[in-house]
Amino acid sequence: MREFDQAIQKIMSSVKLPDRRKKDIQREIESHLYEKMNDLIQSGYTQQEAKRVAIESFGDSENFGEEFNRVYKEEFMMIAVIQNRIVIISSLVIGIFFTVFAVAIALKELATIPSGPTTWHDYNGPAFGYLMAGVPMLVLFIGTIYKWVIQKEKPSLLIMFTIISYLLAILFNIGSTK
Amino acid sequence: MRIKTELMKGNLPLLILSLLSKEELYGYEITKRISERSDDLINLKEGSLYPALHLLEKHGLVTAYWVSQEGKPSRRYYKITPKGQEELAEEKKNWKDFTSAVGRILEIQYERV
Repeated sequence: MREFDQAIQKIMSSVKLPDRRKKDIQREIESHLYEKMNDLIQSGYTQQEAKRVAIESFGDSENFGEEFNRVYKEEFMMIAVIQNRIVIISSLVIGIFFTVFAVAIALKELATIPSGPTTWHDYNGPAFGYLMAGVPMLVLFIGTIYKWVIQKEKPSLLIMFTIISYLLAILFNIGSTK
Repeated sequence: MRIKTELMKGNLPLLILSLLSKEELYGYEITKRISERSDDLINLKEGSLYPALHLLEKHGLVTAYWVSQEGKPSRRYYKITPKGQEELAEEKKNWKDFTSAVGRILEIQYERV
């Protein structure tokens, strides 16, 4: 039933809901169109004509989507909020772990260098690199947590993803220099 | 003459609950019953039925279950809940009061059967 598949796809195009919910609605529309088509065929319509009328009498897709989105608005919003929180919290936890790790390695490296300006100049190890990356990140994390917890200002996902990618880059750098 | 869609929209849940209070029905059957019982005066855009059904389900006024059919798409049957029965009784009373008030204003005399 290519016509029905296309019609269902069009009807569902404006429904913005979780997949599980969408599948149920889709099955229901399919059943509706099929029943209507069969009724029309029994009352003398050709199959092609019956399909067309069944699709037409179902109504326009835009209203359908809008009304459904309104019905499940809270559920949809709640899922979005939970997903958002999971991403932010995991980003912070992973981010802090890698930052502290980078700073700790840097400090350990620096502790092995004998003091004296000449030796510092001659040092070619990765410690400064780790510090350059780790310290600003640590400041950024503390700032983000402060804004979130104290000032109740939610950090944007874009910032969190930027931090994570930056920290992953540090991690790969650590791995490659070892 | 057909009853305007806008006029129908707000009353659709009441009609659905009323039909479901008599028997368990699936979506397409509900549209057919509405059309038959109103002598085709109420002929809604069929798609508008489903958001209304899901809203009733969300509020616990109806429950739904799937019944599979061999070689045909499954049907989703709806069943009124005790909460739905209570809501129906309340809404019926509101409807009666409302139509009688509007009737008095419009000075409509209903024929007694």
